[in-house]
Amino acid sequence: MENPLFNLLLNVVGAENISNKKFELLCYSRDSGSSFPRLPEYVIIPRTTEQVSDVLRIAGRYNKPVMLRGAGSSVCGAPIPIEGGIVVDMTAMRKIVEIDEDSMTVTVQAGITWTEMLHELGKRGLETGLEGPWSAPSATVGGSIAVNAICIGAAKHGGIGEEIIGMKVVLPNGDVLKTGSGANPACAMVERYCNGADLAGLFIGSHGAFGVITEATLKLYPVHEADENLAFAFDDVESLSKAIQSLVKNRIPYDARTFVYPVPEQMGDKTGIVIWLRGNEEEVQRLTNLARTLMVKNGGREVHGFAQTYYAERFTTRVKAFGAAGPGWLEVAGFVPVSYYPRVTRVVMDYFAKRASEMKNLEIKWSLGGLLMQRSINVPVALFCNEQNKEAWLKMHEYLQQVAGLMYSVGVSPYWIGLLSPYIMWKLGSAYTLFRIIKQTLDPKNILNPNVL
Amino acid sequence: MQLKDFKDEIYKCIRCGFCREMVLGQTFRICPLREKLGFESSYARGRMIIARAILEGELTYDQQLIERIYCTLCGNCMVHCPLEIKTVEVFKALRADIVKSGCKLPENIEVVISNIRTYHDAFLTLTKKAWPVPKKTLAEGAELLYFAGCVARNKYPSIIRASIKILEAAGVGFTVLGEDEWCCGNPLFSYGELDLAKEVAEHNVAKIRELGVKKVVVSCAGCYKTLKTEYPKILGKIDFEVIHLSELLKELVEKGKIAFNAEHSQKLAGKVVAYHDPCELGRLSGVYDSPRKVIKSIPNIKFVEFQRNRENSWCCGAGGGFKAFNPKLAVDIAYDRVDEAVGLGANTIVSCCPTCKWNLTEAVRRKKMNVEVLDLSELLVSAMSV
Repeated sequence: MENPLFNLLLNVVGAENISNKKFELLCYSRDSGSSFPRLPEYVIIPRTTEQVSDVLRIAGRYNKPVMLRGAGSSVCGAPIPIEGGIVVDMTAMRKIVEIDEDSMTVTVQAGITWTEMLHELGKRGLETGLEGPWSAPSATVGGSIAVNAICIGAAKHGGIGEEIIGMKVVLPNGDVLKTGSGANPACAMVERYCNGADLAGLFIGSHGAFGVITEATLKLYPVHEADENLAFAFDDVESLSKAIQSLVKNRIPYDARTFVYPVPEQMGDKTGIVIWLRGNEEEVQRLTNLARTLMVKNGGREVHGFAQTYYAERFTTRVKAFGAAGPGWLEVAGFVPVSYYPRVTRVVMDYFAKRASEMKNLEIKWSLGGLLMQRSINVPVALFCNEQNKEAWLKMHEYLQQVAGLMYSVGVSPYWIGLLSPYIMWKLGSAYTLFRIIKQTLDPKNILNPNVL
Repeated sequence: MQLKDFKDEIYKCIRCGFCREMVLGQTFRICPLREKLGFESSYARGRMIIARAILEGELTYDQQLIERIYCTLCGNCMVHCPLEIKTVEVFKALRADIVKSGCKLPENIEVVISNIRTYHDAFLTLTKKAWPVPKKTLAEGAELLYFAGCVARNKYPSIIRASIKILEAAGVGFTVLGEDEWCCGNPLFSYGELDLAKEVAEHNVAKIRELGVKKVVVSCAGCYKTLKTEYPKILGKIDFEVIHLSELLKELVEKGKIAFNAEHSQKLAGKVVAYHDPCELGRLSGVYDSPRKVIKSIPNIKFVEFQRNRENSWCCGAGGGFKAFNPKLAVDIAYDRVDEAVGLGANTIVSCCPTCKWNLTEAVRRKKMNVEVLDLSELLVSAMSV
């Protein structure tokens, strides 16, 4: 049957890079989480920024919603398509565009995975500040920027935006934009805050609602010389939080994770923290001594051996644990000041305590932890069920909505919005109004990820 | 086992995507098909979604879906899955489900199945004369049978001749099935044609039992895995041991039974040999060291490892019946492996599987590259006094 839209898209990307077969659409209907699947109408795989631009122009002409997809390894529903829309699979755009050792920057296409980028950088004795999220072997750099993924190394380097110098972005009307110093065609991408307001920030965590990131430039560092991993158990979240505050004040860890529920056996059923220190030999030794002193001073007991294994297997630890607990899996997460942490964890634990019996019957499990940022702590709450139990699957979504609202009410600011959008975004008041105005201006036909705002 | 028997395995997938293109440690990319086709359905994560949709009745087989199901069954996704999902078994169950559903299989696959059903051989080219050595009688006290396999018989009789020369020179008593040797059934197990697979397995096992041997030595990685792993699954315990030729050769080398010829060995000077792990021998059967030890024992050869070796080895593109199904794409995949060898400075690729040799050789020829592709037996015999 004649299908003008399909033919136009085919002309852009070629027959081998477009599909509307149901089995293919199903494969793009989900991410790693347990969001309910939705079928797009087409999937396309662009190879160049120009192709992305052409696709957006065509989609605009036909009023077809477009969802961007990196690795699809998120749990926040970020790439779940709009029913009947177009999914743009960015993973074929995976080249390293430039490694600039003079300016210490790396420019990559959006679809490259973190571990591939680091593999190539490692050959030159270089690394990025962040290692990517815990799904780094599959997660793409562009996808991580779009959802503001919390990455390994956030305790030292902060959110992903802190490591971004600039981006090449295709706007909803198909225009191509370079941010920062890259906006000047005569200048390289070396500085973010110049040539006017910070445009890069508009796209970080935007879930692709304002534009499609096709290239990103990140900061580079020499490969670190030394590491140390430490683990400490604490009697309660209050003393753990005080210990974390001392880490924040002294800028100690490269990465740090807390366990509130469930707690690994090695922690002896108490709350705990694993810490990764990085630097040169002397610095790591100094930080190790300081961390030990501060942890013990705040009531921590060192747990030997656990942190080394935990971090050595960091890319599979979470998948294995969550796969065993679920494998269906949803997550809500966001930042709070560390001083809020005891209260937030108490609220979450009370919520689940009241539903313990129902959750036991439905075999729904949950977990609560923490990921240290530079100045705050990210509090992830994960829910697990076996999707073969449809009642449990539905119930898990209900819990997620309620927990998200509850957490927001005690000060948690979600770092990604994804499937939380309907519960959270409208509560943001004038910030939300401004988002809507920007969206209306950039994307008057509401083509790009139309539901996230 | 049927697809429904893998339900828990299929639901176990959390779609982390580590089977897509992980680059970590010695792992450089995961799925040869995904690298060529790009779409989610071309690798394990998408196929798990497809399998689940089939089980849940959301998807039914059509010709395009059926054609997408076939891959090389190389198992790279399986060994790198953090949840240890038996992806290869799920893919094979999907293929068996297609056969059971009565859907028309792709024409190239039908041809192979028909050949085996009619001629007991995966190829049509075999004539009785093509069997390169006469059926031998069991030597006094010999307990060994050499099983050649369809690909060597049809495409590379040189592998059979080399293997037999080595065994004879080393004083190993052995016999062969000759014309009683049917295709091992590897393509049938791969394509899910399990009733016929059982028939050929029963035939081969009966004929082997008639000879009363205790051990079967196999030079093809596909035959090896089929006899060793698939036959017991479909027939129950079999009462003979199955070993790969490389394992026997390693033993012979260690016992000093292989006599190298100084003049012949001298001609090998300048050979830079990269060993390609066949998926069905290495990743799927765990035989990694024997071939390497044999190669390293040969004088005057420089041995180099592929960057992707052992469990991280990159498939040649031919496995799982994929070469018969899509010969062009199979060779496209082989280009990657040949390029990798050339990048190492290798001028010779050695494998332990005639199908790998066939596919890699086609890639070399099409690209007009100055690389020789040899079976382990061919390399070894060239250095011996035979």
